[in-house]
Amino acid sequence: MTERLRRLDDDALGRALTMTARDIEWPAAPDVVGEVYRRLRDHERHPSLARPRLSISRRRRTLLLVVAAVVLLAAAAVAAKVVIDLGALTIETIPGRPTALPSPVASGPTLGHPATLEEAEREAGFAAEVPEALDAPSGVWVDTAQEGARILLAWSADGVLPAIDGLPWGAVLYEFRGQMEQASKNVFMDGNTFEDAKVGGHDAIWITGEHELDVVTDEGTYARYRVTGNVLVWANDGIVLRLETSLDQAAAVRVAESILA
Amino acid sequence: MRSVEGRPLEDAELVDLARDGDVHAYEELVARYQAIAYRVAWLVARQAGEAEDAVQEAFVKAYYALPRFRPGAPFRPWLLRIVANEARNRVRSSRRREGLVLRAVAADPGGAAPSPEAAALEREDAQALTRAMERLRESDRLVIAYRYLFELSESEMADALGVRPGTVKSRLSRALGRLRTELETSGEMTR
Repeated sequence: MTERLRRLDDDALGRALTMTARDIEWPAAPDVVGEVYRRLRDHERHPSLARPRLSISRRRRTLLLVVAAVVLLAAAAVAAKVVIDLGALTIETIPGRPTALPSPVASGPTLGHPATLEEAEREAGFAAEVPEALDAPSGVWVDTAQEGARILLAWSADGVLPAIDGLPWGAVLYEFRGQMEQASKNVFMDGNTFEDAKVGGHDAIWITGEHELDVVTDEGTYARYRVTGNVLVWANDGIVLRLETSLDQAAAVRVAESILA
Repeated sequence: MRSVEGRPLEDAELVDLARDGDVHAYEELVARYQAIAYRVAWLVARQAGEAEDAVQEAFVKAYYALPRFRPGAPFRPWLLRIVANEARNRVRSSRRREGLVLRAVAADPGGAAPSPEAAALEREDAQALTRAMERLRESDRLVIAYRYLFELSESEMADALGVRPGTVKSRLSRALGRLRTELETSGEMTR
């Protein structure tokens, strides 16, 4: 039976699928019209609750609002979530502490596959940003499985680049391109610092303390990683960059700004 | 359904109205596309509750993204892209995933029904195909569904998948190739 189906060419297999579609009994679709209407009306009445996808030009204002919101929320110990949406990467603040701290970044299946820098750029379709302040990366991975592309660069720890806790690396730079979400950070209001910063005039976010990074896998699910280093996130020319090191903020910003030099 | 001289408003007209803040116009778009949106979300999440949440969130996000919606572009694939992305965001738990279900075979009083043997053969084919679809990775499942289950055009597929139109055919062909591999696995499992 399946042998016969397997031998069909693409057109014939497509026709068989179209025939099959008529026999599928889909789960009953709920009527969401009323609920969507209610939420839109609520947002109109309380504009601060609306969180449309952000355009680049509005991010600065929003970042400031978000930081202010985090401070207020933390102070009030209110269990609410704040979301920053950078397209390929979102950052969510969550009350409490991380509940799961599994494997560290740069050691799992979502790295993509190892490549030379040139191969990674060719496959990802964009030029990787490499900080001039660092030597050539010790490891390069590329992943284009989802509707976007990401390149990960890692530098071995050495005398001037202390190891990130739990990792052999002194610096890990994730570069995401595309508007489809490829990763999501869970930053915890209890134990993390979360503040705005600048990288060469671009708005950036500086995060310290153990938190979580969810990366979309090839199957469209998420793999969760423990992040132990200090993280600087910013966007430059359509690419979202995430630099993890054990450096302090000023030193990390210097590394990041050497990309723009 | 609001209309102009008796005809329902086109998507583009409703989008223009919604962009100007007419929530009722947007309600009509929600009503028009909530069924296909839910099926897409369900195919990604394979869990009814997650799919419903994803659809609601996607419609809200899409409303606020309307100012950046390209005038004249088709609304449906743009919406489905947001829906699929939102559903992907929710596939985080280890909840049991639901499977595609085929309708019970109904007697056809019209007399044009295939012979019992042919009907049984079609039924087996359909079951093998749905089982193989379920085992595909989500991106392959979606590209096949867009083309053959929802019958989107290649141009709509490109918009819905967020890829260049020139790459749709090759993606579809690769997905069908992996479907054949899954059919082979299925054949071995049932031997």
